[in-house]
Amino acid sequence: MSLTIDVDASNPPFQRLSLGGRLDTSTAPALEKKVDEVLAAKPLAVVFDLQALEYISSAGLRAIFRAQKAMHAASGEVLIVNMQPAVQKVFDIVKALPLKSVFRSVEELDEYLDAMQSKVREENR
Amino acid sequence: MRLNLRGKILAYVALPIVALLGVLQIWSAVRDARTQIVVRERALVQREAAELDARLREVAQIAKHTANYLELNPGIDRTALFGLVRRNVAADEGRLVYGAAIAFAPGVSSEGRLFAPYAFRGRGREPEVMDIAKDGYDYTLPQWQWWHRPFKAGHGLWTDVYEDTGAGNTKMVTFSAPFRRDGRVVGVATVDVQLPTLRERVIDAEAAQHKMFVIGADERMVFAHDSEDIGTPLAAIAQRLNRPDILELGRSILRDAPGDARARGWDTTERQWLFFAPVHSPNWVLGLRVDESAVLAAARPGIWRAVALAAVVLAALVLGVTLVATRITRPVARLDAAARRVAAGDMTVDLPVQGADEIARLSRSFTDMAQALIEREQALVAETAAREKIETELALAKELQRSMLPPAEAHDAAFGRYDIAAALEPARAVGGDFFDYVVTPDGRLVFVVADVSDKGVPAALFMVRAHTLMRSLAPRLASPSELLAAMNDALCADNERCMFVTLVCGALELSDGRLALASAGHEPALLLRGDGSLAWLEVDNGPALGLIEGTPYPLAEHRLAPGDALLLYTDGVSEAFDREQRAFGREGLEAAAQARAQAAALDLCAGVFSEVRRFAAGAEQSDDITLLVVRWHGGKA
Repeated sequence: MSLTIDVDASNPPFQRLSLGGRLDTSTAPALEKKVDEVLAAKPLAVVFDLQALEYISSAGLRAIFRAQKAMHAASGEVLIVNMQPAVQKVFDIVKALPLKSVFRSVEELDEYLDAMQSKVREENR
Repeated sequence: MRLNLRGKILAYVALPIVALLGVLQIWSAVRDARTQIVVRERALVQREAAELDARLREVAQIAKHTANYLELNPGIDRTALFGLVRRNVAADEGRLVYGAAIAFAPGVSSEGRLFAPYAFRGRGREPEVMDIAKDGYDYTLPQWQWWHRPFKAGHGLWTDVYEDTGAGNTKMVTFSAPFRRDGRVVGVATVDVQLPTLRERVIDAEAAQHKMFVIGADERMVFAHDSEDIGTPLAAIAQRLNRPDILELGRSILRDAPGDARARGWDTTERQWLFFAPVHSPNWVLGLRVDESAVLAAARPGIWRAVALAAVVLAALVLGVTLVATRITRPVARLDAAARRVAAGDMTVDLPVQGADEIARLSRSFTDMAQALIEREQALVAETAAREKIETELALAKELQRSMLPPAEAHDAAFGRYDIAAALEPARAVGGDFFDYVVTPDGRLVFVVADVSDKGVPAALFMVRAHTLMRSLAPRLASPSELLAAMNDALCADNERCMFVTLVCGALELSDGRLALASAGHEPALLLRGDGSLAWLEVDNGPALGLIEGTPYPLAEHRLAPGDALLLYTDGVSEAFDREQRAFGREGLEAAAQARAQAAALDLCAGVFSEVRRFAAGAEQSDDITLLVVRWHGGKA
């Protein structure tokens, strides 16, 4: 089984990547390439929707950490939503995600993003 | 029959053409010969018929002149009449006239009886003269056409062929011209033509060659070149030869003259071509005949010419085709030989190419193909060499990586306090997993199992970095916590690709079994107690090394009982997948460990390892697999 990546750039400051299938050594390079494209748009946040992601290996983790590192360097954030239990377990073991960047549901995530957006507007005013 | 190219061209192209040409030529030769014969014979028959007609008219003219003379001189005396007929016979220079007569009707002469002075060619030089009526010859009897016909017709005309028994005693025809007194026919002047004589005069060598014949309107054979029948009725001939068709043939000739016919002649069994034309004055038809075999014979030179022409054309075609076929087959043979050489591995093919025809194109393609094969083979050799080089290097790297690790098995030789065993199998030639152990001078067994993210060469390089770092830091640091924190900070520096290591580190006090554990994002450790029970050792896991700088790694403290064993592993064990993509899992590990909980460290390690391998048999190994077993036998010293 391979990896599927759907990019939703309808709201440019927030780039959403919906991942499905297996994210492992053989599929991670494709995700890294896609992430690099997304980062070129200089978003405020990159959201990984892991609803359909069945498996993640250390190579997959590395791809997400790399995105996180790049976003942090640009004062942005990587946010993760809809983690499935098997994937959650892997993240838990490695323990390298800040708790505040993981959301259980899209509603929580959207709330956070709305807040973030209004904060940015205020700063720009 | 198997034919080569030349044979095929000859058989399917040249031979049919030559055959057709030959047949056309022969047909044309036969037609030409026939046409020639028909034209020649037609002309000849017209001429012969006209000639015969002219002769007979000339003779008839004598009788006509005599009749005119008698009409103009009604008082001529008898002696003069005898002189007149003698003169009529003698004066014929062509000597065709046999006899001449002047016959009077009864009652016209002074005696009042029949009177007919007659002259004919006898045995002497001079004609003999007589009065034919004197001997009781009654020429007014119905059978004498020469008397009756002119009376009826009112003008001069020829008789049919008849045998004159009264005067000539021979087969003859007679022209008879009437003369009048006071508007009434009172007699006839005649000339006789003896047929044997006529036949002699008419049928010369040429006529004989052309098989001349003459038939009369009364369906008699007047004469023929090769027959004794003179004046014989055709019906009689047909009966004699038992050939009823002869009578029919004769009738059709009489009806159709002038014309041609093809029929079986009376003198032969062969079919003949007949040409015939009318002889008007006696109402005869003159014919010529040509045997069909003669027609063919005439065509024979033409046929031979056609055959010779076909032979010459065939020879030219054989020569031409042979030349062309050789020009075609020679390069093909060269191609064939070249193909065999290429098949045998000799790629140095250079075919001479001339022209732009199909064969030349094929030769060029073939040379190009051989060239492409050479290049392909060279590329393949180079590629293989490159791959072999990489494989050799990887094998060396694997050996080197293995040599960085301590032995897979160790005992406490001096005091028998512990056994340690490890197994490591990279998913690829080299991998990112490693284990290590060391006994510190202060009596602690420090051991580590680590897993670098991803696998293969990048993981191996990062593993070397992490392992080297660990080796250099471990002796100086008091606890696993400090080791992990120091390694993390070092690995976070210059880690753009976000490589990370999960690592678990334990420090066992060999004297009393106190165990200090710290984990950086690693799988938990499994404790196998001496009584056979299992427990997952709780450790407050820190993040994987290399990701978050300045993170503390909490220390977990446990105490082992003598006989307890500790099993550490990487996720290559818990996430070994079988063919249905099911994971081995912690449950599988528990079961495998439980089954051999009391075994020596080496057996326990090897047993679990082989179960993992068996579980994943047939599926590609997804990650490096590492197991480390430490069994503590108690602080015996």
